[in-house]
Amino acid sequence: MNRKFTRREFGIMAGAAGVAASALAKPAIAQGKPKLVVVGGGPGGATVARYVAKDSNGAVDVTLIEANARHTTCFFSNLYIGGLRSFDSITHGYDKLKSNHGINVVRGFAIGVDAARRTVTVDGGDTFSYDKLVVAPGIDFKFDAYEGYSKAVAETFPHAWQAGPQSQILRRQLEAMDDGGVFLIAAPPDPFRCPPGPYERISLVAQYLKQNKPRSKIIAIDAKDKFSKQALFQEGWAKYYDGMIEWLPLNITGGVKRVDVGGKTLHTDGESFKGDVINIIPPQTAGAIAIAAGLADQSGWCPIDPFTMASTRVPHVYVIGDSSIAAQMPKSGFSANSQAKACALAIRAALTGSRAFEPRYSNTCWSLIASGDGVKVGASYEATKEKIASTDTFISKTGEDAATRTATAEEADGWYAGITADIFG
Amino acid sequence: MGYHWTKTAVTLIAGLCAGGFLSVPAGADELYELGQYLAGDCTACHQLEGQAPGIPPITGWPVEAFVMVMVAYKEGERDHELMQNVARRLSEEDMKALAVFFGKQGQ
Repeated sequence: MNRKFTRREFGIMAGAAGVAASALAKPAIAQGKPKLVVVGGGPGGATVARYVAKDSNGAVDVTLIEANARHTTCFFSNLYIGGLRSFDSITHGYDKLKSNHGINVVRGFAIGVDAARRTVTVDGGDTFSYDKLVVAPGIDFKFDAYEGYSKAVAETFPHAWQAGPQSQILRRQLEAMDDGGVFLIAAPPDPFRCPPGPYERISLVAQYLKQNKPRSKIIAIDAKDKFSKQALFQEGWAKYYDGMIEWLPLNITGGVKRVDVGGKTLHTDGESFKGDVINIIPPQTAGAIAIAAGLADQSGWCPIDPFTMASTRVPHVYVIGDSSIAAQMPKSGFSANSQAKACALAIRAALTGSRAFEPRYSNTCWSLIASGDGVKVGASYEATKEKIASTDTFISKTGEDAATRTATAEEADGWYAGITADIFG
Repeated sequence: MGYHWTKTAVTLIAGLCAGGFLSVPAGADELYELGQYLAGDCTACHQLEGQAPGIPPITGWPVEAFVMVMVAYKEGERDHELMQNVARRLSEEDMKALAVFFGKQGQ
């Protein structure tokens, strides 16, 4: 448990590969504990690592490869950007995964998967062998989506759609903005991480501006004509932030086409929009390692077996969370956590012969429209041969009383505490 | 909790007791393992250790109380859309499994 590969072991594995590559293609189960390697320490990856380690009682050797020392959750990062939460309160370490569950947490960025040899390579060159591999890298961005936009431009016009330093840039820019300024946000096309997220962000930035810089405006250029919880958000915007928010659907602007960094302007086909703080949330794809490993199809996302989350393209590899095509499940931290548990069960069954049950998936997305005004949407899902299918849904109602909304906001806080304990131990 | 026992809940509990479930049922390991898996749906919000405002604790309950509450959600007699959604897809065996699993936590 909790062991690291030594250089000598790497040498042995490399040597073995040289003389008997076919032997390495067999699972290492017969030679000791079966090995699970997980790439990505977010809600999907950390959960699957924790559940396999916890429920197998040490029978599986679990390694978690994660690029960062700590994980800042994307969910609730809008509360930080809106000034309702500290950065520390949404940032979590991996100490409990190591100490309580014996998971070998490796700091590194996975750059390649050798499916024939069943190895993962990280930057720096270290290689890890696996019997089963879970790839959970979240999202990556299409930085070539708009003329004039790039990864470098995202340091000036942050996406803040992978929480962490990007969220801090956006928060600092909002704090520095003068009263009367324009917060310009470009919302992405489907599919993307956290469908209600851009609209919760608009809401909580509006609350911050109303309280601190009330002459300011928000303009949203959307790549869609409709969005998650739209009636609930628009009711709330009229109630709390009347006249402050202008939301422009695709059919009005045609969407962002060009980014002018020096001029602090986003251009559509016919119009230009100047912003004092510009938040471009670009179109998205599966994480880079998922694409490099050949797990994604032409859509840029990774097809999976709805019953196990196993890749349909590469054997012994599973894809969970935002990178996967989970059909009707939205790309959310809750979904990733739910998929991780079904996946952990399937992996334990494959590696240790433990009982497998029919997978059950679920998701709930809470959003704040204002402090103490929470709404939610959720569903249960089941695996079918074709896809993960929604079976039963619910959503908050427009016109709900204040007590219900306050209870939902409190529930969201409680959920945050619960799910982060479930993910990080 | 302001909850009234329903006829269905009483029948179900009676059934559980009559079936010897509340002592040591056959297939107890499998039931616990089913509960352990299904519990993942609950622990996305409810904590196994400790608790937070807004989400009530569900560990260490008597089995019959746990099942009774889930039946009430399933039948819409207890008001909470999310919990009703969770409960609607649970079979009687699922509820027993969850009750056994959570009953053994936090003790």
